[in-house]
Amino acid sequence: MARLGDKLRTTFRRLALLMRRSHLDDELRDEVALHLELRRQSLIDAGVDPREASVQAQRMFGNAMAIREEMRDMWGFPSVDTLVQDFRYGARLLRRSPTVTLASVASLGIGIGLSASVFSLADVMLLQKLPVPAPDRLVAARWRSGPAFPFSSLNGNASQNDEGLSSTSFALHAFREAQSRAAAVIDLVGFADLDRVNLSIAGMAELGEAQAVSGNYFSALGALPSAGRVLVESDDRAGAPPAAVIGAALWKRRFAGSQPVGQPITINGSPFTVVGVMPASFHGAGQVGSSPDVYVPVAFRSQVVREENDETDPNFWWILMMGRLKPGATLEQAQAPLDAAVRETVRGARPDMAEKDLPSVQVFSGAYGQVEVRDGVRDPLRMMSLVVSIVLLVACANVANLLLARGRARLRELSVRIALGASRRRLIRQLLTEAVLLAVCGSALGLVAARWITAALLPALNSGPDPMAIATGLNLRVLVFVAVLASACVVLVALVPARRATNVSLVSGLHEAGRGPARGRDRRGVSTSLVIAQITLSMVLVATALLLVQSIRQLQLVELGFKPDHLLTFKVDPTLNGYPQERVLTIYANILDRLRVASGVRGATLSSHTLISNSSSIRLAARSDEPIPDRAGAQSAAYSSTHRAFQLAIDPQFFSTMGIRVERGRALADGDRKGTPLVAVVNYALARQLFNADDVVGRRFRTEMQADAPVYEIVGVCTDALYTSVRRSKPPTFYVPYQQGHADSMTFEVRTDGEPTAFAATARAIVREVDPNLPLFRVQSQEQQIASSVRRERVFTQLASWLGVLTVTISAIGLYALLAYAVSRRIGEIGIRMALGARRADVRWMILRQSIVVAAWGLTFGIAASVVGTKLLAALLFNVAPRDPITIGLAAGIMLVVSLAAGYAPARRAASVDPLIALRAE
Amino acid sequence: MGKKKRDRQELLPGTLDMLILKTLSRDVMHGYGIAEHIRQMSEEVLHVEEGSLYPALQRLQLQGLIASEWGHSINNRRARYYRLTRAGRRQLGESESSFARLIDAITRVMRPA
Repeated sequence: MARLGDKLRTTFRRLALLMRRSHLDDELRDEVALHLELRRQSLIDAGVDPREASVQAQRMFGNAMAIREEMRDMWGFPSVDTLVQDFRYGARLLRRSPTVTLASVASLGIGIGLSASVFSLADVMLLQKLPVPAPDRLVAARWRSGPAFPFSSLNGNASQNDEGLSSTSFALHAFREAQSRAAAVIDLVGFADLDRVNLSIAGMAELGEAQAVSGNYFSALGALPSAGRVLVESDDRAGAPPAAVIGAALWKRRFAGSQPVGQPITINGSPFTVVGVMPASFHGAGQVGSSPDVYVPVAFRSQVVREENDETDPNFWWILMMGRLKPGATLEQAQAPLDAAVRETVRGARPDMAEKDLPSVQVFSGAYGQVEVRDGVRDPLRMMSLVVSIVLLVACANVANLLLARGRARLRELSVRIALGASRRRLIRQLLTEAVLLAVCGSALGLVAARWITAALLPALNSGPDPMAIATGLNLRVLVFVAVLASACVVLVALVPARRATNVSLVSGLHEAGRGPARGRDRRGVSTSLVIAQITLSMVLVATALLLVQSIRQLQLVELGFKPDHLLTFKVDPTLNGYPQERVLTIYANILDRLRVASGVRGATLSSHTLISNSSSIRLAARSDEPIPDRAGAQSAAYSSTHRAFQLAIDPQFFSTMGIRVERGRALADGDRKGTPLVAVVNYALARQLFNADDVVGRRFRTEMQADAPVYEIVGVCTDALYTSVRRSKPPTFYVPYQQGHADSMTFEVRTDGEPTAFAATARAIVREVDPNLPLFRVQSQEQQIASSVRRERVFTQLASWLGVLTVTISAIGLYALLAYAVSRRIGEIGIRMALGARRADVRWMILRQSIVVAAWGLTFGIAASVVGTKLLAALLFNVAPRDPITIGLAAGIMLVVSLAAGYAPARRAASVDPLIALRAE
Repeated sequence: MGKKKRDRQELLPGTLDMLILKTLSRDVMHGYGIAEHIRQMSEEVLHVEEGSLYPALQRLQLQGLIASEWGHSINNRRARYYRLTRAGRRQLGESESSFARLIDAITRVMRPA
């Protein structure tokens, strides 16, 4: 306690000193002056010569400067005081070399901004846990099976590889069974995305995201409502009053913050009552960051989603499982009952399945949410993280090099200051302050840059047809982390020149700073390695950018097989409103009729899928005269891969509107409708796959593996066209009249005279005339659709190109600085060489050679790194090999040219040295 | 620098503070006076590098062991006079006794030889 009291008192006295510190300097000066005067007097009295006396008095006093420094350190808070001074001095120095400063701050800022935004995205999408109490106690389940499908219909994602199938969707039956069997160890909840629904509140309709959840969903997750109540078990029963909970976003958007509890809400035509509102912090059990607009009980799914599948059908798999472990229970304990429940229900529903093909359940931590999309973003995010780390590294290396060069340039200044009595610690602190100043400016710029970089990057990751709504506020935590990391790098590297500069003996420091031979080869080792590292990393980025640019060019050169220009596309889905089929077909026919007579329209048609949107309908297609293989047989998996075809339901005018030629037989006709024989137009690819011939008009094929399955007659053969993606080849496709099948949502394609998007307003008006309750969605031109399908590639390409140029520039500056410094130190040596008869060309070559040696090392490492690194790009590349030797060679060539260019100015300067002047300076 | 230290004794570390406190225990003095007093009392054996006196004075002030005020010297120059505080006097007592113990111990070790 006493010590604390002392400390406090000392602090207080310091504060008192601080108050009057403007006087302190003067007082000290007076005091010292008096001392010297009195000493001089006493020396004179002792008989010393008056002139000699002042000098001797000074000597007896010692180093007045060092003493003042030492005392200033005690005034107030020494660190603060000298810090301010150091900052001022540092800022002045930085201002004095604006180019270097700007280059450092800009490269740091961009490096920090980029890394912060990419790491923020990675943090939200891959690393953050669900914002619910004790997320680590959550468990999620997925299943794996052999190649045979254990279901007849699946709503959700499944991934298939050589070994079999895997998915997170289960049958409702299996979920209920698992829920009761595992009740002792886990509180199991079920939920499923209902995707886009038509939400109508107070007579205004809009599209929103809905989720069906089991009655225990909210209580098991531990989520509390911000208003009203959550859904409970008694809501999740057939016959219960229809209740819905809404998300914070919908509440703000549609209820303008007013009391929504008790209000009616119509979801896809079915009335519900809002019973509660979830806070914005609740993200459901899915992707962290995304939030559904509305939650309804599982028992009410069929009221919202109208489709042929009965959700209680054990062969329809659609619900996702997640659960909270009971206190004391472990993940492993949950596995067995879930596995048993699912196997048993599948065995009951599919007696034909072999025991080895039955799916097995795996449980894993549910802390990060139950998401399938995550796998899709993992690789791009990893790649982006890698790329931005490279940029950050190059930026740090550059700042390090600039500081190193400056430290050397200031060797003499520092030696002089040491000679005048400045302490080493003080000098090091001064140099560190400058580094910190750079880092702080860079971080500030990074903060600004990170905001718009995040906005620019999100579309690259999120380019699916239904982008995840992800709340990605810039993550402050990550930003601080990156800024601290970069600052630490800068400060660490600043220590090297600081220590080096203050470690020299005075004489050699003063001497060496002025002139001297190029003795410091070892001293330049650090800088040279940094520049080599920069060139290496830059070359990897240049190679990456070149590969991506080539890939994009390849994508643009792809021949589509249809004409994408002057084409407006939009979707409508009358089935969301629960209309019967006849009414849906009538609506479609009416819209088409009106579109075709609108002015500025050259043709209008519709199709079940938007072309180049990564959505498609994949069917089996087999000649009707081919024997049907045993369904459970071993060849069944192989059979389905050789008999796969893409189906597109269309309006007859699709071919003429899209510019796909029907070259044999006839196109579809309006007469092909329900009740008339099933007809199809196939493309050449399918004709060859089925019959190994082009002329197949009149032949037949079936799309199911049953003897009594319907059979399509081929009435025409058309040219091949792309369907799902520009990255795929033109698939075997058959076109069927949409009136002959089940029609749900449709994409309209309108060929216009003018700019297609300008027609959107007219299209809206026409649809509204036909049915005012029908929203249009995904309104865009076909070219926009194609562009957005390769948006990820495009954004990556732009990003890589930008960063490539940036890092190359930074590296060039680094190399230039290195050589310029070398030349400035070797001027004396160069003078001697020239005096001894070296020609200017020899001198120029001497410097250029140094640049080439450094570049050669960088390129050697760069080529090796590119060969390894660009493999990560494979998923993004189209028609370009990741290790394309020409591209890597080109990247190396670019780097070599840039290196020579960076070396040219210093080389010229060296060659223009006048031996007379250089030697006189010696 | 080296040659003037030839026949002078370096101070034991930490003893400067004690010498200052002892000097001030008799009288109020300015910086030069303190330096001069130490030099004379030690018969010019103990040599304080005079400049280093001032940081020490400031440190003692911060520790509350001495206090200072501005006054006028004999020949009417403005000077800062230092005096011992109560805490300083107490500290001096402690330093003196621990120093005496130290010297005692050293002497006992050295004597038998």
